[in-house]
Amino acid sequence: MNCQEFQEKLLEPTTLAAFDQNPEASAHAAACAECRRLLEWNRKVAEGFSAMSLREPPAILRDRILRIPELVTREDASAKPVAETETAWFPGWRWLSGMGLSFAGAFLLYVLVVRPFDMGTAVREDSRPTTKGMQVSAVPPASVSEAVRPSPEPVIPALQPTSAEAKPPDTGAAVPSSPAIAIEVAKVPTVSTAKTTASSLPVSAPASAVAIGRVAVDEASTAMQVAAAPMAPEPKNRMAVTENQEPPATEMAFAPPPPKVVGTPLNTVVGEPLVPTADAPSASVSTAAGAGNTSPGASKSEEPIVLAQTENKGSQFGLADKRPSFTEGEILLREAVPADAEEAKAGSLDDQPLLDTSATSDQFAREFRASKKETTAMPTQQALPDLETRKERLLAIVQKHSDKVIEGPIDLNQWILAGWITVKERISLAAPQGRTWVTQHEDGQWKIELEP
Amino acid sequence: MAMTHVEKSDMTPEELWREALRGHQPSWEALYRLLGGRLYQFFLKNTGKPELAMDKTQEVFERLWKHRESFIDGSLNTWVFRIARNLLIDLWRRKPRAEILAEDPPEVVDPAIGVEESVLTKLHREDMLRHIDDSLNELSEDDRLILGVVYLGGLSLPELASVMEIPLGTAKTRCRQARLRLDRLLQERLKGQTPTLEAKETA
Repeated sequence: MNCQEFQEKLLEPTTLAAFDQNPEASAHAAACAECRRLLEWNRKVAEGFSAMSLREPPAILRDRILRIPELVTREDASAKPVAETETAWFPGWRWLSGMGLSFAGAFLLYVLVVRPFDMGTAVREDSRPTTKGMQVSAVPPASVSEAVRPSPEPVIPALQPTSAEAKPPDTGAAVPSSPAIAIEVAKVPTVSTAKTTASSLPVSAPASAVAIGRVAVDEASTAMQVAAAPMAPEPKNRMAVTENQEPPATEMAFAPPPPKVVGTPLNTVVGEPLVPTADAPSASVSTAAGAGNTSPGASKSEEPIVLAQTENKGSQFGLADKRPSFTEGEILLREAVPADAEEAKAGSLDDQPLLDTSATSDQFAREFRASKKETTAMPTQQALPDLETRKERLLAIVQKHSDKVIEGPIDLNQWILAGWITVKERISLAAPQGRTWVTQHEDGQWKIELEP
Repeated sequence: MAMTHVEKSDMTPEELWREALRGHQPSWEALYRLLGGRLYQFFLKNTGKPELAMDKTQEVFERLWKHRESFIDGSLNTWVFRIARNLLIDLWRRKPRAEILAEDPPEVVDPAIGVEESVLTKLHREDMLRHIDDSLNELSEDDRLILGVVYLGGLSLPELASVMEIPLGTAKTRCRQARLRLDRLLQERLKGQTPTLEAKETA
């Protein structure tokens, strides 16, 4: 063993005590004075540390440490009760969790029970652009207000209050004598929808109310009508017309900006068969889907009829979703008829069935013709000027345009197209049913006669 | 029948521990007498505060008992002083400007200190104890920790490496350097000299 190995072993106090039992270390210490002094020094230091560690700590520490097993064991034993105590505070908050569950249940009930009605409305409103059926019923302003007023039914479609309350002047105030139009977009044949439809239709409409018509062009609306039938009777004054229904004022709430609406000349109403053509889309075409569109044929009309400019009806007819057809003129004619005359005619229209949407075009044409005859025959002589007055007015117009007038039967529709008279004048100047105004030119003087 | 104190002193710390785990209170008390004084002095020399040394000593025994199932075999001394070392490091980390022990301190070549025969013959045990107390206060925390584990705890160098979680070679180097710095301070004190700042920095 050399000095380095000897001094390395001196560092470790655990081996220092056993140095005397190590023969190699003892032999080296006996031979090396320096290593012997280091051995003695390290022993002195180790004794010092040993004496230091043998110092008694404070007596209180002994008591505290000797109690540790008991205290720790007691804590371990009380660990479970502590855990129970930690959870025991929760029952005091059970009322809070109960309230939370109650709210959750109420919300679930709302979603499952109440929400479906709202969903029906939402679906109808959201699906409006693709609505295939439209029901249009004309009711007086008061009836509209009643119809759209929130009923005890759980759900009133947003359409009604919006339309009626947002546009009251359009429906009644501006044109008190004109019929207001209530519209319902029949899209989803649900019970709620059917109920709403039935409730919105005035059961006892005033006699002066003018029912312009109803368009039911798809199966959905038909189904809805069937569903609504047993709930409420159909209004008395309702007639069937084509799909080119005048958009009601109530549609303003959701309809796109009104396009330029043109109409087919009125003279096409009388003589031509009322079979839907390419220019006049058939009833199977969705009215709402055609909103804003103008048929090509109609756009080529000689004299477009801008319904929005039609006297006092502009607020009701100058709306979106217009498609020109011969029915517009017809509607205008009806609009111009005094209320009492319309009422007299209404009796014959009460039982008119609605157009069957599933009918073919021929059936549709026949039904329309039938309704057309009644519509054209509707103006009576009661509210019209007397014949002499009309004759004088016609004579004045003939004399005014004498260079263009030819002898023979007068076609007032052509006069409208020529701009000589207005549509209203055409109504007021119409000849009695079964008779025709005829012009004669004798001796440089124009005469107007009424001939069969 | 409970074993006597004398009987207990003949047992190893591990045997005492096993007896204490069985609920034998005298074995637990014997463990305290065996380790309590060392731990207390270890914390006292490293903190300089008797109250704190007492608290930390108690905490060591508390941890020892709470985690009694963790100790299966090995050296009880190593386990106890590892707990003490961790507590001490946690204590240092809480202090501002705490000195964190360097895991791999630079190797310092210290020549062996020559010890004069006259000094050794005049040195008594009580004097050495007083000089060690004073010199330990002038050592760094790292050195105090090392020397406390080795000389106060009575652990071997492998056990020191285990407690300090460092390699054995690093443990030997650290222990030797700490011991040389302590010896320098002790020699200077024995010669009646106060170590200068330069001497401490050199150490």
